[in-house]
Amino acid sequence: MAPTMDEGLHLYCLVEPDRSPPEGLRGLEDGAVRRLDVGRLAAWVTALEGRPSPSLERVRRHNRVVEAAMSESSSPIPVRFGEWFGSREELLDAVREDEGAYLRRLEGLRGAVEFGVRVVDPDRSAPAERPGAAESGRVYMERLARAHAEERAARGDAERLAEALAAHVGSLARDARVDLRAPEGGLVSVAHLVARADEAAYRRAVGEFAERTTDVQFRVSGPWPPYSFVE
Amino acid sequence: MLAEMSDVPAARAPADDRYALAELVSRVVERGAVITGDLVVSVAGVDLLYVALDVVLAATDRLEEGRRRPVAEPRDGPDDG
Repeated sequence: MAPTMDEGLHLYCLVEPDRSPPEGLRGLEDGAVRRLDVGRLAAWVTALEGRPSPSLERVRRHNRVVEAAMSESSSPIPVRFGEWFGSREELLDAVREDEGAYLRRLEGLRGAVEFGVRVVDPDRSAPAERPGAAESGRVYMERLARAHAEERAARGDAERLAEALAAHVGSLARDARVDLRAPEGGLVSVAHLVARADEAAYRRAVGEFAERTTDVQFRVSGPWPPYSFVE
Repeated sequence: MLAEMSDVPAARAPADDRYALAELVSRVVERGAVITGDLVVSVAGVDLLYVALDVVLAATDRLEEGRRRPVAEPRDGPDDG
């Protein structure tokens, strides 16, 4: 059943126009997932009365719907959690505004999936000690300088690792996104866009790289819908 | 779920669902296409989500610590775990 004019809609992803959700697919709040045609695109949506707040369960459900839009030959444009529209017209207007860009992006994502590589330095799992408020000025400045130096060193290590990993996987990664934020001992987080046909070779390449890079740990996840390769 | 931890050598790639969960959350709430340009996800909501995630991760950490600890090993004290 097509969404009615005046109901609120939670948006999961944009897909090619002939792609319908599998029968029985349920999304947020166990609502049915439906297709809404938007020009040369289709949107997968669930009717919801209001904007959903994020929770682990809703995040899982959102992702499950996006994953259902993956196929051997095509990948959806995953939409960030929280895109809720007060009516069908609101959604149509918003998507139509950039329809051409979405179509080009769908073409670029065709047959590709995302992998995540997070590099963790176990020796840096504790955050750098920050200066305390009750210290003398000189001690405070020394500790501040030390903390900044450690951060710069970690950032340099992360950049070198990301470059080395990029060189090693080479053309197996169609595209890459590098995140140098380093929470919880993480040095760097890299997302790679990989052709489905290259998945096995990519996994081997990352495994080889992890084997020879002995002082840090590698955590690889995927395949994911290409969340990191859309804007 | 489609996404799984990879099969890189076992000693180097902990096959822990918790990392997949953290990766999932960061993708779904921080990445993905922004259609409206003024996407509103309550900051408090996202913070709560990360708090929930931290609780999950911390609980898993404690569970694993418990599994690693030999049964006969004495506890360090009342604050442990």
